[in-house]
Amino acid sequence: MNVLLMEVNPYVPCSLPISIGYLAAVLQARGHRVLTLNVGEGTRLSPCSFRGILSDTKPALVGFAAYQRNMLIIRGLMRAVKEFDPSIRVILGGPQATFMPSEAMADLLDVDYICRGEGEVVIQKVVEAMDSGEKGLPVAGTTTRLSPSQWAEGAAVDAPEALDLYPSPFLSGVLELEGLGEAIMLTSRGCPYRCVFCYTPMAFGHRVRYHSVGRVLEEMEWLYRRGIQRFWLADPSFSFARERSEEILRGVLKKGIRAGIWLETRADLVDEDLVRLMAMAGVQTLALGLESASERVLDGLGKGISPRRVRQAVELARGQGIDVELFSQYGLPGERYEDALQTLEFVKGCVAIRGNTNAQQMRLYFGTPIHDRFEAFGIRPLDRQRPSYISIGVRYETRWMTSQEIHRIRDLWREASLDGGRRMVS
Amino acid sequence: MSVLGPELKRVYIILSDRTGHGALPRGVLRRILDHVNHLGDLYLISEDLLRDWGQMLQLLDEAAGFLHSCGFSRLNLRPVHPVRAGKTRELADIYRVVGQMGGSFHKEALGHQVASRWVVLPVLRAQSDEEVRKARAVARFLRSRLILPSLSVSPMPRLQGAQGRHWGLERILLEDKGGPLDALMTNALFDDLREWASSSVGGFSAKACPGLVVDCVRGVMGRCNRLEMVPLSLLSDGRLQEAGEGSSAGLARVLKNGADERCLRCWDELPMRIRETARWNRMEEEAGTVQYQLGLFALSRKDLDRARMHLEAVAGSASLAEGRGEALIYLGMLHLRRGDIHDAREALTRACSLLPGSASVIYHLGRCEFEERDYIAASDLFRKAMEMGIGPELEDDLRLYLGICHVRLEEFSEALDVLGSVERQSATLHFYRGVALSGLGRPEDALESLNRAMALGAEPVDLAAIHFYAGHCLKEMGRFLDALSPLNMALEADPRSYEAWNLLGYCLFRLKRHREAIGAFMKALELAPGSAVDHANVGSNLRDLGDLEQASRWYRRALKLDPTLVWARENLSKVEDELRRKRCEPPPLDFGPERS
Repeated sequence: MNVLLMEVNPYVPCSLPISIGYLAAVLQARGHRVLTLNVGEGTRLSPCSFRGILSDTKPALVGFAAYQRNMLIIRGLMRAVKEFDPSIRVILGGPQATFMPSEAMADLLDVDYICRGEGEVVIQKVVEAMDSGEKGLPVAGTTTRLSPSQWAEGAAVDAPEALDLYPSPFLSGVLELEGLGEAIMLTSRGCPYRCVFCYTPMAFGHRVRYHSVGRVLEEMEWLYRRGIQRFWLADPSFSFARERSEEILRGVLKKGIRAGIWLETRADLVDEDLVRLMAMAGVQTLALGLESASERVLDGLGKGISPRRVRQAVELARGQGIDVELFSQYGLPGERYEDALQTLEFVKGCVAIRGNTNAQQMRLYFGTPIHDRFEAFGIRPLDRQRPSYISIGVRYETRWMTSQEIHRIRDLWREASLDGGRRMVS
Repeated sequence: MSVLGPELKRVYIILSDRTGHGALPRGVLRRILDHVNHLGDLYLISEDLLRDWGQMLQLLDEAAGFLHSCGFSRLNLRPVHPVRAGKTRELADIYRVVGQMGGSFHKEALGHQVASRWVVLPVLRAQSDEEVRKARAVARFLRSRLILPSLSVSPMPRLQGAQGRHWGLERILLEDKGGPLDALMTNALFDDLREWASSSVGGFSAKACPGLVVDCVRGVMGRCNRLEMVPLSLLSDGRLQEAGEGSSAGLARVLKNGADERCLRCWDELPMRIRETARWNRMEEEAGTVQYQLGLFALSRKDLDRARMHLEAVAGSASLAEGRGEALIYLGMLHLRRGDIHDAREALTRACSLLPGSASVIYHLGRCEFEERDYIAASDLFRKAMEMGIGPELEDDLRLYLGICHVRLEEFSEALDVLGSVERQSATLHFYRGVALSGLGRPEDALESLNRAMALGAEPVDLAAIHFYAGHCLKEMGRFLDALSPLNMALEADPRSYEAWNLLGYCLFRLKRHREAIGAFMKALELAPGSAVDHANVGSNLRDLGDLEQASRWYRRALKLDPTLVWARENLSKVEDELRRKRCEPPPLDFGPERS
């Protein structure tokens, strides 16, 4: 079967589409022909050329990685797919899809499947169902459209414990690496913590699953030998499994991989020995979640880390010559204007405000505890109505801050920023 | 896939006055927009907005219709027009209408919490101080309507240290005699090159600007006002649709115009043309980055003159602190490629002061020493670069050069160790491995390596050396007959190889093909007339041919050139004994050394 998988980030430059790379590798290993299309701010794609791609690839299935930020544009792309050929099936995956209300099917008439489980597992089931003439609907792991006004939920699907069961998107050659200096890698998936604003713990059932150290190092070495100079390890908490993370870092050293590394972890998951090892292995940037400098606000977020611990981690990292990025947010439950100012001052006192250290307003996404129980968290949505596939996002004020105050905080962060407030990670 | 085709990013429509060819027929813009990138710019250029408002309204209406039908496209709508005195109210009314036309898109954007697909970004033109003042007032009104304008000025107005952001403008453009279109296209090219220079995905390729100029005044269209234009009439009727689907006519013909030498010249001129604009808009650093990347692009195309021009400009610029060091490294590499070792060393030494921790600089300084055959200094620098941590892209090259240094210094064991760690297999690598193995007295292994070098496609310039060493190995193995073939091939590749003639002569001598051997040694002597060994070699062959008189003469010549040639003296002694024996003369008396 021919499958077209699309990653669409219309407001930022392209980066490596690692998630659809995994899906493509899984499908390709089963003999399907897969084209991945990575559309960013600078990508050339016109209505005419999109029709040309559909005409050339003749996909039976087109998949989109959905995020809140790209829903408007992929809605247009899905329409274009169906206008080109109504028989092409469309599947919506990605973080926005996992917990999207099924009623969104009424607003998204061009969607045939919404992916609810692990993409690699679900897309195989959809392809199998299509190969067998779409008998036995709904497909497991999806919300399946049965008619323009009817849909049904498929059974839940299990994801494998060992991520090595998935073929490598790098080693299998499904990702275009030409001209690329930086590679995004996911050495693990999931997070066991309970931050109320975060999608990951819910989506992965509060557990962490891993690639083997051998597989991670094999990919890193392979990429390094092909000119990759920087690795972006996108694991939610890289050092959650301490011994494993040390093994990876030692492996990087042993294999002579002299690339820069960006990684993210929690401030309570690093100590002096680990940070020293990170520096030796080439970690240039360590990203830590601060969220707020107010203990009171933090208490309500379920994060379980104090600003003092964050400051210690920052000092440890900087003592080893590692840059630190601090993720922080405003518009949090329980946060007053003064608390938000306190966070800004705290960050200013720790690190330079640029890149991912630029704070952003908290976003309320489907599937997060704060979205599901927004009233209990003191969140007041600004819009009475919004498309059913769009979550509250940033359109809210809180019991403690008006939207004007939230905007004022945003402007203060922009003023303090050294790069105009452009973040890489949302 | 990051670049999908020859889509347009920008459409420039020069609106017609009454004397022109007339307005664009309804429906044509809609068809053009089908070829425009998902984020495109539509410039509507008017000399008099009030006069051309009817045309502009029609085009904006078509653009809105397009966005309604294509839900993934976004347009920046850019009316370009002068700001004339006394027309403020009319302009305000026009922009109220333009804003209202985008109402449904703004609502849609708000619902999806993203930017609108309909963004109005006017370009206000001003040619005098008074018009600049006027434009700033209009800009204030527009900003109050959440519309961000740019200002396009001729060099005449005094901007008094203006800066785009400071004045609340998207950008300040500088118009020269090329008028607004030229200024817009120059800035567009700058934006494209900035995007390319900062992109982490995808390389740069020589493509024409992704724009389309539709000149309703002259009735022509084309990719760029500097390239060929075709009649606008090709856009009418059904021919455009046909063209868009791949025929050679109409728009497709325009879109398929590739970049040519004129485009390269345009890129070369860009840093100079954009200099003032970059200063006004505080974009000097970005302009420097673009020029740096243009230098690297020229270098990758082996266009060394262009590369030098751009890299020297960046190296001398004060606005790009970090880029200067990198530019100097590439400038050093460029000089190295040209064989200008002095200039290369100078550039790299400057780079070293800017980037003291750069292993790459040290490596290239090592290359300078290597080119000047100071292999000890070169290997010291190569080792230092290795200790500093050279990047993977240079690691193999560094090890190869270091290995060659060891070969040149006859440190064959060290050479073999270093060359063994080179991953990228190449003819050069295996040739030097062969030489090192030969030097270590392992001719069989050396021969295998040399054969591998040949199989990997040795450069013609290396053929003579590879064949010579193959012959040498076979000679070492006692396979003199087998050695003849590679030695003859070596001489075919380089008839002026003294070593090959000498070795050929030796092998022929061992095969008792004395006349041919004498011929080879005579060739060697043509290339090295002072070679005592080859004189003696001729003597030995003459001796074995039985011409003792001549042999004696050649041995004597050899000893005259080098009295320390012991074996020649012994052979001469034997030959002369034999001659005396034949003449029945007694041997000369030998009193031995004098006693004290």
